Amino acid sequence: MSTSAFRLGRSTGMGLAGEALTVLYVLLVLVFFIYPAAWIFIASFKTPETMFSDGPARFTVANYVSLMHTGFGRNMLNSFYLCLVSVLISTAVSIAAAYCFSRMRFRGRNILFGAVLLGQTFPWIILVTPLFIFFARLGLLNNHLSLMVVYIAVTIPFSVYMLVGYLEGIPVSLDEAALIDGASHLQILVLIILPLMMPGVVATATYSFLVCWSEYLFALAFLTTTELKTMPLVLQTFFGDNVVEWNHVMAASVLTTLPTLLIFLPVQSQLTSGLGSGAVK
Amino acid sequence: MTYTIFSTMKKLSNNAMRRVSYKLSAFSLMVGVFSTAFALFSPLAAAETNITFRYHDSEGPQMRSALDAFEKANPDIKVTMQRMSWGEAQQQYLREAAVGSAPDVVEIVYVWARPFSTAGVLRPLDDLIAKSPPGIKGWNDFIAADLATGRDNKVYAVPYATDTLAVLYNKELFKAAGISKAPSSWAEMRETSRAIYKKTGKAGFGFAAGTCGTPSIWFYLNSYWWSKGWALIEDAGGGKYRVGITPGQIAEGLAYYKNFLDEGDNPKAMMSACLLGAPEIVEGMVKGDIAMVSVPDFTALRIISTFKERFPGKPLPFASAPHPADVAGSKMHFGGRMLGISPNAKNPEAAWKLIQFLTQPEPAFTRFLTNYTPSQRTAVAMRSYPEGMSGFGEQLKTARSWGPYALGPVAIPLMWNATGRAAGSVFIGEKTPAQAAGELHSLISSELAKNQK
Amino acid sequence: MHSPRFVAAALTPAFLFLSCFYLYPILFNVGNSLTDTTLFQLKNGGEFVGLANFAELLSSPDFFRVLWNTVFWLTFVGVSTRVLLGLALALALNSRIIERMKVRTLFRILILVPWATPPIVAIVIWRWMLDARVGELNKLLLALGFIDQPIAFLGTAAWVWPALIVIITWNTLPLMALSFLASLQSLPEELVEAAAIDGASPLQVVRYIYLPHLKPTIIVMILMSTFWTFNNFVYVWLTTGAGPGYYTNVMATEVYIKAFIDGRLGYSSAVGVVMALLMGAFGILYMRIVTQRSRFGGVM
Repeated sequence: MSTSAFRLGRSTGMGLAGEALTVLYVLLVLVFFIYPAAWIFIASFKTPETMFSDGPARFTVANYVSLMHTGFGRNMLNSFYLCLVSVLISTAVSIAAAYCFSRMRFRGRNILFGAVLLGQTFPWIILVTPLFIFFARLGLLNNHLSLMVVYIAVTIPFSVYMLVGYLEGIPVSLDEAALIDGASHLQILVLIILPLMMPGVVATATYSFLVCWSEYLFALAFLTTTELKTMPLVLQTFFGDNVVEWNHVMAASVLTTLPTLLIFLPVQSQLTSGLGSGAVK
Repeated sequence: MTYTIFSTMKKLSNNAMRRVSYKLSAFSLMVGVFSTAFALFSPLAAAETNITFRYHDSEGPQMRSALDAFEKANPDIKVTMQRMSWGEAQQQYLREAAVGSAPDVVEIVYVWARPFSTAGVLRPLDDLIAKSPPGIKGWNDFIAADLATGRDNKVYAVPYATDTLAVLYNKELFKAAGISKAPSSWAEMRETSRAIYKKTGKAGFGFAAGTCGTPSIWFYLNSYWWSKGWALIEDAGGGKYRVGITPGQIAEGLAYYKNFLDEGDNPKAMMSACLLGAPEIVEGMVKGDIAMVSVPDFTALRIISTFKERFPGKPLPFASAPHPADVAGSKMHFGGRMLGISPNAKNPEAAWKLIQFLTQPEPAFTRFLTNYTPSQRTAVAMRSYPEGMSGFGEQLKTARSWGPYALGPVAIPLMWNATGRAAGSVFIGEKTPAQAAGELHSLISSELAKNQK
Repeated sequence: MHSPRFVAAALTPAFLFLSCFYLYPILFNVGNSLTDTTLFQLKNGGEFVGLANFAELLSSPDFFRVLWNTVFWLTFVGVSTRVLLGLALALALNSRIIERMKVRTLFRILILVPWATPPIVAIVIWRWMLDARVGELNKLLLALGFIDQPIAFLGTAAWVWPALIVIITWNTLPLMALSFLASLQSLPEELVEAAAIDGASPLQVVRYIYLPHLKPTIIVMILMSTFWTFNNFVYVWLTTGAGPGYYTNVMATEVYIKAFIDGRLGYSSAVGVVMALLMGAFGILYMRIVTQRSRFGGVM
């Protein structure tokens, strides 16, 4: 199976002008993407007075030091721990469910699959109040466990959807051959299918991680103790009503973006192939 | 190919399966332990009393220092401070109180005491006040004590800090435009702003013209209306209320402020600013880009201190004055904060000790929360205003409480939001002042009719 | 394959989480939408008012504007912008010239940067970029001579929606582009070489070879993006507060305002139910149109 793809290029008569336009377009998009992020990265190292002015900038790491003194490190740990565990559980659960929807025939399959998807149609803000009441009655407010359940539940629908799409691209003959050899479904899933669908799993897990990492509405309602708060929450509280702590905002923005980027980097090749095959023929 | 894969796998499968299942069980055990540990994390059983205090103002570190001082004076009480912004404060507290998990002591604004008490989410305080009265001179010295009572005449909150808005202006920009004194009428304010913009290119009267849940245009519009003797809600006697303004009068206020934006002396950039202490306002004043702003005293103090930090040695160019006056005088609300105890507080006595501590000028206000004034007449009279801040003292003399707005049947958040939206739609040119005024008037009238039975 | 025990074991965890999360809230909201519960009287509940909330919503003068903002501006313009730009970007990144410059991997990594940025950070950055006095965009436009007066993008009726679309696109285009790119990379070379030999122009190649191959990915991305965009609250609320006035009010912000500012939980639940019904109807219709030609009868 050849994986090198065809390209639009001279051989299809694109011509020099066409190629120049292509490069120009890509460069414009990249500037559009990178410039704003670079701006905030640089601004986070400037003193608050020189951050927004046109004049010469004074550079410092004081913003980060001050941020850490507010206990932000604790919040970073909270986000990490919460997202990592949630994504692991959510992906595992979704893989099992996706395998069933893709490979198995059972009564009500279409209805259940539709039910999974239809969960996506509700806006989250109307779910906050009842879930708040639900977890309050269980005594799980100001507790990461409740948020974990929320994050897992919220990432399951699209994870299942993406994984099913990915599974469609893996021939059923593999399963059937293994079945003939006497393997159990669990063995087939874990030993044969899972390695083959790794790119899809990575793509799904990364997307789920991103959703958890930047989630704000539920965390806002469930966590009121500062030590338990997650990063987006604390970032939002720096926008006070009377003063914006710009030094903290800038430093925290960079620290909230960097980890996701660092996680993306090593997996980005798996990520892209996984995303593309998310709905393969 | 599949066969070879599988047969190889089968050979390893038993070992692999065992390893996988070991790893899986080890992992789930780890998750279980972690989550249980974290689940037990929050309410730690302690030998001392633990109370939670929800604080919404920007002076977090200062309040923490004040709480540390309280803990030193009361070694058997520990206070956990929870922080949140005002925008989410009301909904969060109401949700929590409904399920019995609200913080022990909560900081609210003046106008929330009445609706909160009606909703049953504040603990009545009469017994605690009788046992150990708060403040310097007892309960009767407190400002806005009337707003702190519920419909049943019980006391539900203790006024804690009071503030008002005044006009802070830049004397140097005034001088550059040839103006010698602060405007005393609305027309003068319009003229001053226009003149400064024409002569110096700097913004005249800079106000936040943007939209959000709690826009500052609400304060400016009410100041305009009140100075002319109009009000959205006024007391009709006998426990009844009525709308005290006509659509035309509402429209006049909207058109007045729109004019600043149209002619440019309030820059269009201000459409992105919304709150009272918006950074555009603070930065604009510090840098000398704006000539006049209308801000609360703690924001003015912040502007002054930022200026002193950034330009040490430069003489302070700021002065303050009350808002422009009309037939009913110079009107601005005096607002403030109150402290309440939630109905689910396990230790109301400890909570009350904290409230007593925070309503004494020494040391809470004198050492830590120096930008604020205690909400007691004695404290207000004793307050000496630093350089440039005398206008705030003058404004307090003619300031009025929200009164009927807070005690009447139409909820302030609803009116606040609707007024801000009306102004926003006028500023962006979507509606004429008359249209927006008509809609706002009928909304308030219908709410009044609906709730006043 | 049939294995009821395995199916039960494999599906249970997922549905356990889903029912925990959705069941009570959906029942709560549907029930609530038939009452006049307020935030202040949450503990006591409200009185039954039947379909009054729905009637009020559908007959309110602002309903059409809110619906239009959500359906046309937020969802339709937003999703199509992302799909079209994403396709163009994927095709461009896939082209031979980029391959020859050996920068594809580098560019793929750079594209991830805006996607990794949480929405609140993206909004902070862009509110600054779009500022009328000191924002970079105005400085650029002034320097290039396109305008002679700075534009207050978020405060001008003509520009506020485009500005919002720009912000959301910045934050979410990478996902689209990378999905399409990855799909392109699995296209077998022989197909296109054959077309090239037959003398096909680039446009024809795109139309007859790329697009059909990309179709499944495009279908999935449109569905996911539409669901997510239609229900989105954070971007509009944190950028413009649904303003100026109510100019950029969408259904999700209407829910927030009615629930937490006006305190009308019953009414806002009704708005939420209407949103879910709209998206549900869209989803069902969409799947029906799309699965007519699917090879895997039923599920996908």
